[in-house]
Amino acid sequence: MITFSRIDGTPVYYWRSSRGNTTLRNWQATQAFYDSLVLWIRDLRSLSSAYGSITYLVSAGFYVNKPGQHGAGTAMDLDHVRWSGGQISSPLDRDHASGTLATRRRYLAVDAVCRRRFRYALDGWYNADHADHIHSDFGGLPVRCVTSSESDTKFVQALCNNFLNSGLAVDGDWGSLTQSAFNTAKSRLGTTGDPHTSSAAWQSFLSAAARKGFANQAF
Amino acid sequence: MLGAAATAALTSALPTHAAGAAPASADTSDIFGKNAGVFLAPGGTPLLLAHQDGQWVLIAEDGSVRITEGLAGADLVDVTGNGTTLTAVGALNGDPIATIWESTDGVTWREARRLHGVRSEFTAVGDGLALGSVVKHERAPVVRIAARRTGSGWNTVPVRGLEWTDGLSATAVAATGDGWIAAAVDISGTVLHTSRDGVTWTVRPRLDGVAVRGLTLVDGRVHWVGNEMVDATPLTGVLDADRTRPAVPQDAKALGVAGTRSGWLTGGRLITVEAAR
Repeated sequence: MITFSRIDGTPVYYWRSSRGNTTLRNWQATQAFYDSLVLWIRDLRSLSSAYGSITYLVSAGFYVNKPGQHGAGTAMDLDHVRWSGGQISSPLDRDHASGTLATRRRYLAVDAVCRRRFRYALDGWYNADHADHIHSDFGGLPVRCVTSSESDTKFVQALCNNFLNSGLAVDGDWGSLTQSAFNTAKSRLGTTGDPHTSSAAWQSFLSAAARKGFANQAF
Repeated sequence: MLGAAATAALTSALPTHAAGAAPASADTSDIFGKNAGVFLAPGGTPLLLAHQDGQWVLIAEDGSVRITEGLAGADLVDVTGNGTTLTAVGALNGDPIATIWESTDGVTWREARRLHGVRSEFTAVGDGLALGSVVKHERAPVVRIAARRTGSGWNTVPVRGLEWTDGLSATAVAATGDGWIAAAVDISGTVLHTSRDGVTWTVRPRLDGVAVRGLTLVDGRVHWVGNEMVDATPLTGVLDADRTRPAVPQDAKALGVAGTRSGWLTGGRLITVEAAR
């Protein structure tokens, strides 16, 4: 386990006990997970570069002494992202359920970037326990889109609803309507390859979706 | 589509250790890949049950190691012992199947109960009560499960009053003298419940900012051990009273309780201290 206060130079704050607190904290994670966090934030910086640099992140935890990935030091709970241009994305404020489409799209863009590096990303659509943060962990790697995964399916359904106006039920069941909407999304995002079997194809899809999300553009 | 430069930036691989900001410090507390915690072995010795080099081993405070038998394929999460009967819980590897193992010496284990037909795991055990969850594909808990040890073995029992914590993993359970107390960790701390019969549970005041890993009754008071949520500072406390910093190193990770002693992993070794201190 290693201790860190910043990810690749970007400070990570804790707001669960005091919102707005900018005291640097001593987070812990395994070296391998920290390395993936560096890749993740570099993805996020690149795909959201129009917003400027990332000023800070807010997390609810990395290593936490409890069963599962947090207890292994291989998980992150993301609460908030702030860019130098003034933009924010705030899972803590349940942005996935915002009444503003641009806010939901930005949340989905951050969500997509998490999924580029972490196979299990649990978001506000997944269940009530993740309504106020996005959980990402080392389980199930390599990354790909698995139709039997409730997390992946709900993400794709929410994505298609917010960018394609697909009108899907976000129920986690990958049926014909979800497949059809996903096919349309893949085509419009220029995805080649099979995101269900190819990590590269899934990552390409997620990058393209994230760029649309940060730009608040339908596809 | 991404431009070539952006694509290159996104797909660039890092060396073994990220080239970004250097971590503030490193330690060796993850020398054991995973562990089930501490228990009191026959004879009164606290032992750590840990996974090392592909097998479950017993590790004493003096560093001596003994290989166990009967735990192949086990993904253990918690262990308890009263000096005569030892119980470990977790799941079988793969698609997880909640399973309970028992032993009389800590070395040789036998499977005592397995829950067939549902993806599940037990995550806490104490004083004849095991708590766990049915879990999703991503291992997120969905529904609480419980099993009680009776004269005929381990039997599943219904639980009431814990439904609002179905999405949380139980982290500790212990007898209180007139029932049980159970802990589960959420996004910002620990939720506690007590029960007289192990079936109907009543919520207790939560412990914010701490992840409780062990509970024990000492001199009529419930003591807990754990780590702070953010920086993992070691913490102990008494139910409905103050919390304190135990006399263990800053990097120590709580492993639970063994009798009246709390176990901690620090610097790659087991240490124990009186839980009531």
